[in-house]
Amino acid sequence: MTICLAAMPWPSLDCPSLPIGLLKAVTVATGRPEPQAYHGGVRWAEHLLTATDGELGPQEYTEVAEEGMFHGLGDWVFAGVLNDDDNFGVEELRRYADDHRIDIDLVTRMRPYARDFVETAARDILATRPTLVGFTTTFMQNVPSLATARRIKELAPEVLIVFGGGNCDGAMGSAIHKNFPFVDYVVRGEGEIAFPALLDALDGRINFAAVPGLCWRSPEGRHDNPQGALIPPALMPIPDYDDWFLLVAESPVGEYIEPKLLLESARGCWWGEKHHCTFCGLNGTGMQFRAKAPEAVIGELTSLARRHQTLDAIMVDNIIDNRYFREVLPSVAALDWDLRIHYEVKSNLRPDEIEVMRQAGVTHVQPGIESLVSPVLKLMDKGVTGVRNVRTLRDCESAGLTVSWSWLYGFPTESVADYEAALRQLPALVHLQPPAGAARILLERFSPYFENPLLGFPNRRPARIYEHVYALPPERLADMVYLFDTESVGLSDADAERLSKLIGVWADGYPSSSLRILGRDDEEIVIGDRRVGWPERNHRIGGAAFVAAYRELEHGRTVKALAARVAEYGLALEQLEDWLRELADHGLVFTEQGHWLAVATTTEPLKVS
Amino acid sequence: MTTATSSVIDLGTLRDNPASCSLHVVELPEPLRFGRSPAQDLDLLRLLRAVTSHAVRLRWTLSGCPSFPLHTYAHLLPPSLGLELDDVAHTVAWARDYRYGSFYYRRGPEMVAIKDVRPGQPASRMVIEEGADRFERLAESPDGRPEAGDGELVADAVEAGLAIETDGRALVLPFRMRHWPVPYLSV
Repeated sequence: MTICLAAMPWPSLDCPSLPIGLLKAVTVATGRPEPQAYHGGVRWAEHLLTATDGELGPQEYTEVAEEGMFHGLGDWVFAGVLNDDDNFGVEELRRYADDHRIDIDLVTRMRPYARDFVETAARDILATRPTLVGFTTTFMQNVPSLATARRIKELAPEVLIVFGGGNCDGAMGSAIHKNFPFVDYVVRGEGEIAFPALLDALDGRINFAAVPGLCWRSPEGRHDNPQGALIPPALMPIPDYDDWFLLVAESPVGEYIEPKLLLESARGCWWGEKHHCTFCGLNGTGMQFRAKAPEAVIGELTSLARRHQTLDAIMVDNIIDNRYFREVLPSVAALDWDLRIHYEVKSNLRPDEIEVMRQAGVTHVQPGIESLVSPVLKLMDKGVTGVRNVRTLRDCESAGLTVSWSWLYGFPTESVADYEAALRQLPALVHLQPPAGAARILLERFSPYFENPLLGFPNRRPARIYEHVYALPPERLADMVYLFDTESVGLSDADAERLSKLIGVWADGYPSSSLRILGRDDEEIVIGDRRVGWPERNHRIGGAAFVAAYRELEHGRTVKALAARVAEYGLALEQLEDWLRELADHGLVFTEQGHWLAVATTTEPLKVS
Repeated sequence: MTTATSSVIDLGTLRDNPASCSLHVVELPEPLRFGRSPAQDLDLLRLLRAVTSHAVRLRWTLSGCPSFPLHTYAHLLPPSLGLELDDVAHTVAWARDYRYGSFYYRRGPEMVAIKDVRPGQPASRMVIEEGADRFERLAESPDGRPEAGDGELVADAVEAGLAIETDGRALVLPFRMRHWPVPYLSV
């Protein structure tokens, strides 16, 4: 059997496809020939470059890939091809764009090139003479994958079409199989066992009914096998990226990108197992946390860095295993390589954990901060407070780590009053890394808000974005899509506008702002204030008592706890309260729900715009 | 105060341990005097390369002009001030072309990766495999004297625009990236 695995637009151009890398590895491990791979993202960017004489290319691709998902823009580019109607969804998108005030010029310019690209992709894939083409689909890959699969089936009806990936998890995979008859098989859930099992079934070695999670057809009708057990970390192979690195080395797209390794050290979420964040559906049916052994992670990172001479690595884990702070990162640091690593982490990081990340080359973290408002964080079940999140922002700033986060709102029962204290203090945080923006939460499949309507979103329908993407009625979309529209709750749009404006000011002021401890001893702390919007000055905290108190505030304390911890200095509670108010007036502390946190950093990172 | 808010540092201390000043603002009280001899200029540029690599926020004053073309050192931390009018003009030109992280190298497994995005020339990325260890030793050498048998390495590096050389001593131009900026992918 000859296999071609395809990853169609819109994955990041500078990373290989992890699913293709994994499936190649497991296929070869079963003794079969190495599958061919079709990297449709790179090919689409090349196609745009050529077809538009450079007017559209990798930069524009990346813009759609990064900004388009929540408006269905990447799917829409290929929707005319899938639905065999060049006008399909055009009016719908125009109306949607007007209502949401989004710019659709770029995708409108791209769309005329989609049909030729799909034709080329289908023929290029068929040129590998496959008996089976496997499409991996996550986020905006559905429509380009379906359009290409449909064309392959038209050109070569005997070629088997298989779908798998995040978009096929649970009911979504069954619905794809039901809605698109040219898709012969859908593998739902993790592919490491199911995909080779499907190959075995196709070879007649086992029954199709024995393939975990498989959607298949027989003369009796359509069948959906139950998804299999989640695989243990020891069965997660080292991805095979050889062909992708060869491709980008020769592709004109290579000039626009710096290749990065995409690595996986764990699946699932250990926090979500205990407290599933109420809005998050990202783990789908695979919440159980499974982390690779530390030596396996180190081995994978070092062997792939060596093999591909690449020192940038994106760890796709939804959350880092806490063991790795002790058993992986110190060993990585000891390599003394100048790595640049991305990790998602829990937001309650300790300074020693931040330091070990810095030493290991973890330069970018996504700590799932989501908000600085404690009552709202409680609604999310994040297990942290606003003060704790500010502390993480402060400590990451001191360590020079890039922090990515977004501010989410729109939670059931949240009120403007919840936000007041935090919003009033945002100008004092202008020296810390701002959120990318503020966004109303979306109702995601698999999230607690989706699974339990009693949590505040009783009414839901497939998100409006799918109207300009699929020619399917809502009842056939309902099981297939990931995002749902529902009534807006919590902050009104007008309230949210204020939040967005404050964040905009924060983002504008950050590059030129610092609030840094210039010197400290037992008698005095000097804080240099160079924040945009605040007078340029050096604050001096004098006297052993207040110096000790300030040090306590670096941990975040209530007044009562602070008084107890500096009791030996004989400061009265009222004195401390007055002093805290004075610090607050100067924007030197962040306070919420009775906790006070010093916000000055110990160093200021280099900022390059 | 155990840490002085005054940021003055002497040249010797900075030269001996630039890492101790990482990310801190420090100031050299005396100008760095260029133009006396190419060898001395090379040493001063070596210091600036270490300062840039360790992300020292050094304020320094320029006197004279380095004996090498501006594009060979514009990626190193520029002066804040110029002593004379010509020095001021050169300070402005240097600062105009400076951008942190425009020419650096990274240490990896049996290889060195170099990125060069200095203004006024095509961007390039390259990987040194053969001789990566010797390249690194040369780059981190305190005086730039090549080891025995490194003549060809130095000649190749000079020809590739990765080093400058004078009086039997070399300076590898790209600095080692020890401090990633925010945002981390901006360089």
